[in-house]
Amino acid sequence: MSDMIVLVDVVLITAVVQRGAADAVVQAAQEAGAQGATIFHAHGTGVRQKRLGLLGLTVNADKEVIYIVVPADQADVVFERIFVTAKMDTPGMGILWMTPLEKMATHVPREVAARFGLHVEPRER
Amino acid sequence: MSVLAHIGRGIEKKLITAILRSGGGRPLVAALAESPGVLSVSQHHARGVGNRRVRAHQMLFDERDVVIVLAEADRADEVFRRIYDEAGIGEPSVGMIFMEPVLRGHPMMPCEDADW
Repeated sequence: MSDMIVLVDVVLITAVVQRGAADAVVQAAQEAGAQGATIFHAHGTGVRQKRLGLLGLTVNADKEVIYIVVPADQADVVFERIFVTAKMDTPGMGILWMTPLEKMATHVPREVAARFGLHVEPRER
Repeated sequence: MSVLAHIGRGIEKKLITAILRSGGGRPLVAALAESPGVLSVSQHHARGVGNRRVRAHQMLFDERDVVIVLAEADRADEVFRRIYDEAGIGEPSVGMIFMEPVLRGHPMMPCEDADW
């Protein structure tokens, strides 16, 4: 069992975008400070989407869902950057939301942990 | 209050999401199946993008497994720790885990005849 460094004040940004748009969104999020993203495919449509495009056929129902975990203080910047890049103000382009996380954990390199005043010694097995 | 209004309430719940290397999801799902405090586990595939690039604007991605666990709030910290240890999340490049509150939720109902 290793020591676990728990990170708080983190936010999960979830974006549902048109298939093929995720790479541009992730690129923009990274330029705004995000470290990385997780992307998966989904299929979805909105109740009013049938009225969009030519009989609703031109709006592709294939979607990409993007998870981005960011520190709370950077979240608004990343959120706004995604909104602009994914053209969320255009009907049918996707949806975007942000939820607070209670805690998260991942590998934190020793030198990074030390920079924040944490010196972690591995527990004896 | 109607019967339906009670569904998904009662037990406080948390949602734990683990993003792991491809292949890490299945063993974790199996390990958590009988774990105390775990109400439901589901898994799907994803691709993970970091800061590495093949060339400018051409992203390099890894195959990832995403495991989503609905856990009882009282035991959520214990389940979180269990997943962290079981999946080896403290090791470099393995993945991450996070926990968020759930307002209301209902787990998948167990099948009577299932051998799991």
